[in-house]
Amino acid sequence: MVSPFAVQVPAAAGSELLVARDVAFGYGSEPDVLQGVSLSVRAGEMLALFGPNGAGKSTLLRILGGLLVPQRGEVRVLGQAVGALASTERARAIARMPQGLDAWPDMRVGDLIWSGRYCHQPKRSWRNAFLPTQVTRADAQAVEHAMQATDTFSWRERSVRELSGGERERVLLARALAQDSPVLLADEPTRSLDPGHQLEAFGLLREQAQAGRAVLVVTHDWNLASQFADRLVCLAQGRVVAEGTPGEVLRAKVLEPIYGAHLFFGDLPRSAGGSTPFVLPWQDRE
Amino acid sequence: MDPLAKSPSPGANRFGARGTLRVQPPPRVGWAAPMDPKSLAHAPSLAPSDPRSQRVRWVALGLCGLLLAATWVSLGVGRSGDVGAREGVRGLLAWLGLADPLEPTQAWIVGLRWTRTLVTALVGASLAYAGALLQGVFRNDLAAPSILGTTAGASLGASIAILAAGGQGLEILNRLGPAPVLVQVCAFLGAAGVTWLVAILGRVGGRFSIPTLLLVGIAINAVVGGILAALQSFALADFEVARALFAWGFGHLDDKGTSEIAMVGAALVVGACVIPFVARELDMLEAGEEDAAALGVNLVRVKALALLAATLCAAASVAAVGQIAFVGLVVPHILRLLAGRSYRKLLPLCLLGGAAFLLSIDASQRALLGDMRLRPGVTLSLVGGPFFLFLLVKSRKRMTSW
Repeated sequence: MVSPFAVQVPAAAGSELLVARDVAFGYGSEPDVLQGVSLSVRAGEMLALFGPNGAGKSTLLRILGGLLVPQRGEVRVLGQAVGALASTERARAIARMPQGLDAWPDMRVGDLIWSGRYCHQPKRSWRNAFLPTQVTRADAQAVEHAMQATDTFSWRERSVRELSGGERERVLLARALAQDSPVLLADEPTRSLDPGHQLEAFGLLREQAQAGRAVLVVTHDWNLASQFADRLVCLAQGRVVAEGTPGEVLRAKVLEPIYGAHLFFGDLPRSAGGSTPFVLPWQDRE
Repeated sequence: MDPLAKSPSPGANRFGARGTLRVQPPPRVGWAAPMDPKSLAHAPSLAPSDPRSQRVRWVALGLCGLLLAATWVSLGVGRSGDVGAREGVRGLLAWLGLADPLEPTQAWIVGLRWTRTLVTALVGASLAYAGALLQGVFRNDLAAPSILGTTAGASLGASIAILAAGGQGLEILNRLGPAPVLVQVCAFLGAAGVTWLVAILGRVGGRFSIPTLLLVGIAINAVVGGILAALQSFALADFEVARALFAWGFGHLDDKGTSEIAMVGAALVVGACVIPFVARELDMLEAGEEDAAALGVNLVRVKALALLAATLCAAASVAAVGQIAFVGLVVPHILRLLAGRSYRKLLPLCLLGGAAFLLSIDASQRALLGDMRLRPGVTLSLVGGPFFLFLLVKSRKRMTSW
């Protein structure tokens, strides 16, 4: 489906929308969560970030989204330092699909998705303080598109609390799409989805990349990453240990020392030609 | 040109002047232009829900009715005989210079009753409003000015001010007037200091966990209570000052003047002005601070505005009438049950509901108990304490996961 809201990338396709240079971060008890991570996501590209638990993926995603300030290095989005942006400007540039919410508010699904438009709505000042929030046609289109793309339109009157885990993930994805920003960060979007919806969610993210956005997705699923992402980045112990196409990264030499597990590697042919590597955690039992 | 600014002209590049990205179709209307209502005609329910729903209107109407009834009772009942509604209204009009004055004794009684009614309503409104704001900032339905120690901090500041002025002799205190600016300022500083202290100490890993917040509140309340007791015992040497401090600590609504009305009213007006700037943001904050920040909420600004407004309102009411507990806890809780959780409805309704609640408590106890009066601060502790306990017991199951 070609979305009515597709972002076209004519001339400057492949320009780097999100760039992190030499980012380092640590907490008091863990000084080396990230030790000099550099990566970039181009327009029209989908990048999958994976790595074992505790590798610093979520911290890196927070820093990329401008929610944490790195101790060293810098993050630039659309050529501007993330730290220098006002909060609404930052949200217009970077949408983030979180790994669930701290607390699920007792809110209509429609209202939760609408909150993605907050950063596009006119800022409150004394002049409009006591007028209702203005809703533009662009707002309505973005919300409608996000609802239809994620198939959440029919739930818009239900309370978010009534939804199952997988349905909630889709609502969060819809909210991030409604935000309609050139950079899209997704933190384990398939965590509690069944295989069918996993494929659908990655397909949706892929579609966003094809529409010209820069998409970065954190995932534990090598095979989904291999099928959908253009580039894979493997993070371990706060460093980028491998980066490249799925064929370059999904190799025994790269993965087995990091995960300390025996893995089975293979290739699946694609109908369009070429092949996609797949990885299976494998232990041969008696 | 700022590449992330909204482009003013339709068709211009949305994401930057550098020509890297273009959105199809270009917006047909200006970005800030109001939406054509027809564009959602095929799906009216797509629109975000309107806070002014039918139900909210009924609740507001009911609260207005309760407020009117309580005002009528409050004007009519008292030690110095009954006053009819007609005299009450005429007294108010006469005071405004719109009607012939009442006879002196009658005018005096009506004036006293009006003062008391207005102070009570304003104090109820500010406490409930402050409670709702604190609950939004701390993302916690059990936060309230009296539980977090905001009112205790205000009374500490005010006590120090009374003591400082009283130490110089009671004449100075009298000359400063019944509600000196010094007491008000010190009450605000005390309230702000304690609230900030609780906010800093109760924060673990970027969020306010409910038990930590409650425990820090208990500890701070104990510390402030100890300091207050120490102050009172120091003040015992000067009997008049000690008596003033002690009586003030109960929270009473007798013998108030226009200066109290002006003080609480001004604080409430200033405080209520932040509603449009924080209500929607507090709704978004409920899902988590980080999440709200990612959606573009300016956390520092929203929290600072809401906390300032809450401390201002709580401090003004404490400086005017002393500590009255639990209004800030009970009123937002009841209104949430009636009208839903959104702060866009809750904050304005709390202004109305708080006034109606405290005024009806005060009026009904005056009407029912007659001369044998309890102070409203005491009544509310008797009613509100069990209510707080009930809330805790009700959420016991969830508490194990806190």
